[in-house]
Amino acid sequence: MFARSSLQTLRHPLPITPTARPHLPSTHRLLRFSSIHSTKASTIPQAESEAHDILVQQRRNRPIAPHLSIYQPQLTWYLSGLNRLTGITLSSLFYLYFLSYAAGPITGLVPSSAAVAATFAGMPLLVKGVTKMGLIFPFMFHGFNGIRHLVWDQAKALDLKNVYRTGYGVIAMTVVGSLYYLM
Amino acid sequence: MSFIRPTLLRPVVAPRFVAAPRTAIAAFHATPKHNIMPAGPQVIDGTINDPAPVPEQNSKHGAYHWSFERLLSVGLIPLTIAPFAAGSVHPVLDATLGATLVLHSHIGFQACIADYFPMRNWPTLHKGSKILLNIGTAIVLYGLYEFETNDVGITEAVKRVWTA
Repeated sequence: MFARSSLQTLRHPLPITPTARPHLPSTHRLLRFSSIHSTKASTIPQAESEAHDILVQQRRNRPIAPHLSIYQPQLTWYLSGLNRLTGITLSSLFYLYFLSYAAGPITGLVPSSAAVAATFAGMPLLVKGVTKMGLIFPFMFHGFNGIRHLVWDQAKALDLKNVYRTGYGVIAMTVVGSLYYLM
Repeated sequence: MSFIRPTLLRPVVAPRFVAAPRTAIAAFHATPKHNIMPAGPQVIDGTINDPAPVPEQNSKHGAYHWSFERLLSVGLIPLTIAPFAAGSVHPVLDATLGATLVLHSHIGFQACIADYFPMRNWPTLHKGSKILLNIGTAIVLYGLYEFETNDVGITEAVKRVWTA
């Protein structure tokens, strides 16, 4: 008989059946666990649903395998994540602006284009530059990567070499396009 | 020498399963445990003998939804290039750009809700966020209409802010 490892004692709140035990019917739960000595273990009868509840509870306590912390950084999923991130950022800003414009009569603050432009004009140069960069880079990237997605939807350029080629192309066009409209 | 090997093997194998102290196990990990995006609530429906549920087939939410999404994306390409190329655009074209952008964003947000709040793990949050998104999009469309009617339009507004 082998003793259970201490790691298991930390993770499972309920006693677990050791490996070399006789098979018990599912309606019986092992009450007392003995490590090296093979004494008779007493069991308590349990309804099927309660046993299922214990299983559900134990599954909630189990850890999941690492994913984001160990996946090798690659252009493929970095650009995919960036496409979604830029999309969410731009759409949220878009929605927030028009929600506040629609709520203008209620709040008393109507962010008209003149008001926004005037406020923006009064900002320091650094703030203006950073805001413009923060708007044009995501916009350009999302636009060009969107075209890349539409190319994929036609079942073209789906092999790894072309995925990387188009990926680098999108990055290049983003940088060129953004710098053009920032100058 | 093979007749003594079985007896020599046993003392080598057995100590591996002796309970090791906690620190000894922790010392084997070179990197800390990062609990990035932990799993959501674990849902267990039925037993392993029950058949997997077949999702309902609805072309409106399936193939047509996909096609409509690509149609909007393709339509956005000339609609977005036009203001950059021409400098200023007709108000109707500007309103079309705005409405297409809103619908494109709506479908994008729907995809995010489906990915990050799956129906199986968070049924209430899933349904609630979809309802909120619908209400939000409706108000945004109204706000866009008011903006196009009372204000200068998206192209002109962006130009004014950019050159401010």
